[in-house]
Amino acid sequence: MSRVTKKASSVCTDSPLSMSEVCQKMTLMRQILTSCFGPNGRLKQVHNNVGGHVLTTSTSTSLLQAVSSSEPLLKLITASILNHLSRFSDCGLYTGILCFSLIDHVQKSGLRPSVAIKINKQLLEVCTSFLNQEDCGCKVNVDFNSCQSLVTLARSVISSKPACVLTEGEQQHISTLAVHAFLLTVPCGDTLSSPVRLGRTVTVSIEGQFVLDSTVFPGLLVNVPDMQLHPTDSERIRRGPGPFRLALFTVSLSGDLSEFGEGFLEVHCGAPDPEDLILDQLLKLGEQAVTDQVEVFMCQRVIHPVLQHYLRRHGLLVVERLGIALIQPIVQMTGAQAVALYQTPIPPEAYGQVKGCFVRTVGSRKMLHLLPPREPVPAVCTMVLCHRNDTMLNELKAACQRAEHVLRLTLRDPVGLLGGGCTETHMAAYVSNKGTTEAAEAALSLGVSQSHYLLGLNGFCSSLETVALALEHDGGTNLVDLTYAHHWPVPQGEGLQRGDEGEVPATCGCGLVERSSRPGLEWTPLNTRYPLRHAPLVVGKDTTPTPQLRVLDSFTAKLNALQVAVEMANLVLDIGYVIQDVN
Amino acid sequence: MTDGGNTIINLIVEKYSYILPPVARGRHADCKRSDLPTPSEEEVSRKPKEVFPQQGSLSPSLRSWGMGMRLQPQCLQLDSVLQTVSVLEAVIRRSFGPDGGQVLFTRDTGQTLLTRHGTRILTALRVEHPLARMVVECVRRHSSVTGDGSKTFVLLLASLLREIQKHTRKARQEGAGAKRLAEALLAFGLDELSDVITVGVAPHGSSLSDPHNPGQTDTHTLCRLLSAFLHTRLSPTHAEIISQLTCELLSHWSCHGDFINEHFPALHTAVSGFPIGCSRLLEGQVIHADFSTPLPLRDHGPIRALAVTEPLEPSLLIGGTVLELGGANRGIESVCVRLGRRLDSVCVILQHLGVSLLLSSVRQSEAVLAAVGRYGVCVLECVCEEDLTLFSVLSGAQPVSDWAVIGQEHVATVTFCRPLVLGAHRFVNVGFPKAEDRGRPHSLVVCGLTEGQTEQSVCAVRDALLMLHTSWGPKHRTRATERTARTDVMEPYCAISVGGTFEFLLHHTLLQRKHRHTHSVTHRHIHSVTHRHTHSVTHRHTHSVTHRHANTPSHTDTHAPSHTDTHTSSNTDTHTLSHLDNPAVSEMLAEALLSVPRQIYSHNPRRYLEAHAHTLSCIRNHGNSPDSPEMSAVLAADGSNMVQADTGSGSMSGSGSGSGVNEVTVWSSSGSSSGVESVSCKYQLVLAVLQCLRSLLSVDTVLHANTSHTCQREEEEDDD
Repeated sequence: MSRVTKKASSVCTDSPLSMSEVCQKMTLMRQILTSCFGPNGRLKQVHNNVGGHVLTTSTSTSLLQAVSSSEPLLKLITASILNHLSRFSDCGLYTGILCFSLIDHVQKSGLRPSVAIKINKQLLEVCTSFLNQEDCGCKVNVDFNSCQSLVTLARSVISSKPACVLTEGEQQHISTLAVHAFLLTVPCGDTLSSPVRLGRTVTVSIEGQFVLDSTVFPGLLVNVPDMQLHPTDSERIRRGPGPFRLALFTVSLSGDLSEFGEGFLEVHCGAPDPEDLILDQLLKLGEQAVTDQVEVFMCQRVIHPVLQHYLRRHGLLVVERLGIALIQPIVQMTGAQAVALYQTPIPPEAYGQVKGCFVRTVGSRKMLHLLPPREPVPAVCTMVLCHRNDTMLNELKAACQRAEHVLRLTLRDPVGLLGGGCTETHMAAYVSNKGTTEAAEAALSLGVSQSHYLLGLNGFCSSLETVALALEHDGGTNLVDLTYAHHWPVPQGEGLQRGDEGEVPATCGCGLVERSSRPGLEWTPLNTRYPLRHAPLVVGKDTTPTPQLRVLDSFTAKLNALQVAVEMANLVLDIGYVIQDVN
Repeated sequence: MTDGGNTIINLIVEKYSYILPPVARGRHADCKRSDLPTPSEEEVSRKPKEVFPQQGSLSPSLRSWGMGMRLQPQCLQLDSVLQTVSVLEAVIRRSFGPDGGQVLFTRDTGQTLLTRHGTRILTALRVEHPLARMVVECVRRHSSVTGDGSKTFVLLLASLLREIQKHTRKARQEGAGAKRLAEALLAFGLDELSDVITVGVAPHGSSLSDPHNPGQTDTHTLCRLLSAFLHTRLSPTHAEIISQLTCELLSHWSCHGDFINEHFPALHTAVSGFPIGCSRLLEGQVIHADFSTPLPLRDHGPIRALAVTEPLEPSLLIGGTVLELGGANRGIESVCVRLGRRLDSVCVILQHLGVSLLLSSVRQSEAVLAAVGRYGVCVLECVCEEDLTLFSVLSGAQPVSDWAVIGQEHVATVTFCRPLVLGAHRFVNVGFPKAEDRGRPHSLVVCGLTEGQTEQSVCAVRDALLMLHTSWGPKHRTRATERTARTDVMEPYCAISVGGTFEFLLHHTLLQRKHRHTHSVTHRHIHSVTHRHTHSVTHRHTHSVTHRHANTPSHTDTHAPSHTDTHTSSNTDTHTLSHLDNPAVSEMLAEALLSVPRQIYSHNPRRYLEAHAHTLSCIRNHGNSPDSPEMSAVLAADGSNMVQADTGSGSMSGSGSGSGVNEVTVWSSSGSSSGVESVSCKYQLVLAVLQCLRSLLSVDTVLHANTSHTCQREEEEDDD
């Protein structure tokens, strides 16, 4: 009898949000995310029950991938945050905190889910149209003429990953490197005639070095075992500059017969050995390479030792076992076409060019540095990242990749948003003001009562402010000014009296509003119902010099994160029934 | 009734099990809900009649025989059936109607899915009770044909069972058994329901076909139909976006609904990680594969493309063959050279044809990619079959399977070919030159936060297309309408506004028929019923309950036309069925139908009464007089808008806030975007429910067998 196993019935849960167990789990998740948020976020150590690797992180990607929940609603939220991160690489924690906070506020307010969903949806539209306005007070144009705003953007990403354990100076160094690498991959010149193709950054990580040793090189660093670096290779630099010809093979040049398929070979007595014949062909290929004056001979796979020897004897630089990962960057950089057939002669157009190559010692490793032939081909650059240990290095690597992604997003949309919680407080003030003044019409068009609408509005605005509040972990106080509605974090220990100007820091969270240049500001603690009679003012550019922004967030990522958070909260509120297949 | 208690329903519906020993099998449905309507403690504790095949342990089987003997088989059967269906109904009700919520479903693989699809929810429950499984199977079949009405199916079924129960209790002495009633209902449904709908419902509907341009589809009504359907399957905010996109898609394809239906897998792309608002239509076709060779940057212009279904370079040694080296074949180098030459010749052919895009359904070797890439041809590998089929249909070029006969006719022309990054995937977007017979090809990109959400949207659109197909579908009632002498036969494309209008109208028409029973022309054919019945009985399966009954609905479906044949030929048959049954039957159906609108307005009973009263006034004002169809259609459309507006407000205001403000907005909104639903879908739904009901009630015993004796698989008996 075959193994017919009985399928268990599914477990059904009615109105999951009203169950205390589910609520507890969601609160826990919310606390985890909140405590990781921001530059002062706390680190989390994740280790599983069978031992092994211990993960130390505070980034949403690593954390959410490592922590899995059995609760379906949490699974859903986690999946959507990870999906958002895979597209935008930023604002994962922001999405999570906002989403949980929205759900929480709706539950506390006692609004019916269908009503709350409608209100949230409408307020989200208000927010997105506000952020897309030209004169939106939280938007800052990214100026490509100076790299200052780009560096700020990169530093905001890198500094919000405390698990990298970087000092202020190191943060600045890494951010500058990230922007440098990004700029190297952007092709210069006329971009209107043909579509732009961005270059790429290859990251090489070195453990045990100082962070300040990290560098960016144009071109590629190829890992070459010591034995492959023939003494003659060091002469290459002496031969003078000038583009060298490069041949790149993806097919194995090892001379074995493995790629002939699955059949049998029958060799007649007296016939030459097929392997010899293949080697002959390989040598013929080598001859062609020599006569074509190829200087660099590279292969993704193995090269037959005889061929290697032959080529070296003729002064070629031979690199084998490159691995698939490096092929595409090499093709992109040198313009070579990867050759996949050794039976036919190498077509002349398959050769690529490098400007030079020399051995570079990076940390403990010797690597071959290939220089890009010329501008403006899509440039390839190598970023060498150094850090003291493996865990921090991984985190740093991830942070740099995120920073690169965020910088690339600015190419499509050259705008940034104020960081440091100022966008959230400003937007909350705007939405609250607009919602209150237009409550009657909005409630009418949504078909809900005005009091419900105001309740929903209040929940939405305080959820936004909750995100700004989450930046503070050390028991400090958060203030908001009544004119511009920017966020002013006050460190702990400095007692606060309302309106006591002595205790308020010199600038707001993002650094745009300076206390010294704007007298007459009034403050109130955040997330209290403060009276704001008019819409928050946009910080004018009247003061000279324009204050230096300290924190800048990606516009594209945050806009999407906002939408994802609200939609996900709406979705979770809408779920009335859960069916779990327990097989 | 709908407010959620926070209990866990554990549907441990008793499995008709192959594995467990035949002891300790007590309850059919163990239901821990407090607010379930029917299954009282008493009903649950009563054990259904169970018969265990002899397994050596004699005493339990004897005991259960004894219990079975003590109880009234029919009554018991009806109760347990009703109880089972009620459990399903309680689950379905969560996501029914405009205020219904989503159901989150986690799979055993860890995936999370969202759904409001009745069939999906029911199958996800994995119920074990044989009767419940039978119902689920019936729902699945119905919804796979029409794509619609799975939730209403269960509601209607439960409510019909309740009506039957009421009736049998009331009139036990008349011998009106549940099974007979079900048969009478089915017979009524098959014979007369279409007439009733034609008279009572259809005049109040609007037509899907354009009044100015017969043969064309009225896009406005179509959009209303789609939007109403999608509102039952998606959350309201998503439904708006998706229905708008679907309408646009249909209009781009000149409403070739069937074509889109057929090629839908290739016509949509699901992208997760973006808000739903990013969903859009793309011109041309999206080919779900990435370039294997980099796309050469070149200026735009028509591109010649070729679709291939075989590798360009065959493997040198296919498994089992022997290559002889030496002698006439010379060395291996000649083989290699031949290989290279062959590749070169293929490239020359490609160059000769001017092909610069190759769509391959199989993986090509690296050598091919490199060789072809040198000629400036870019290759798409592993293009799935659906994409390739659609490509060849749109371009009119056949895929190449043999390189010997490759010609100009295989070459397709595409207007553009560009890489497309959708979320994590890289696809290719190709465009086609304008063709006059079909619209401009467009593809649908569905975005969502998670895969569960995109899948839900995709599934909803697919079913919407299926539903459209049913609404446009072949006129399966032509014979029935032929018989009626009226000229205003029921239009196949008829659509009626949502919000229970269909049910209200049908309810009243049925009741009116009951009053005017003696005048009405009724054809009842007990003959035909018994004919079909015996047929299905002789066709009895001896496997399992589910199998046997899974087959029954389709079985009767296929026999329905032949039945009508005999019917028309033997119009002079004596009316053998007692006329007493008829009013009872139509009354039962009429009452049962009301449960649907009652559920729609369950959060606000006042709206229900208003909607009901409104439909009544419509009928009273215009009657169902078929003499002035235009007039009544106009007025009815007007009225139905109001009804719809009503539903809209119901969904918006909810139960709590019935304030005056809402009403003003509701009644002032003209209802131009009000939804409609297809009358023919509704008709099929009622028929399917009646068929399911009959097959449910014709089971009287469930036998639990043990698998160790495969020969004793006969689990189930009919009572006749």
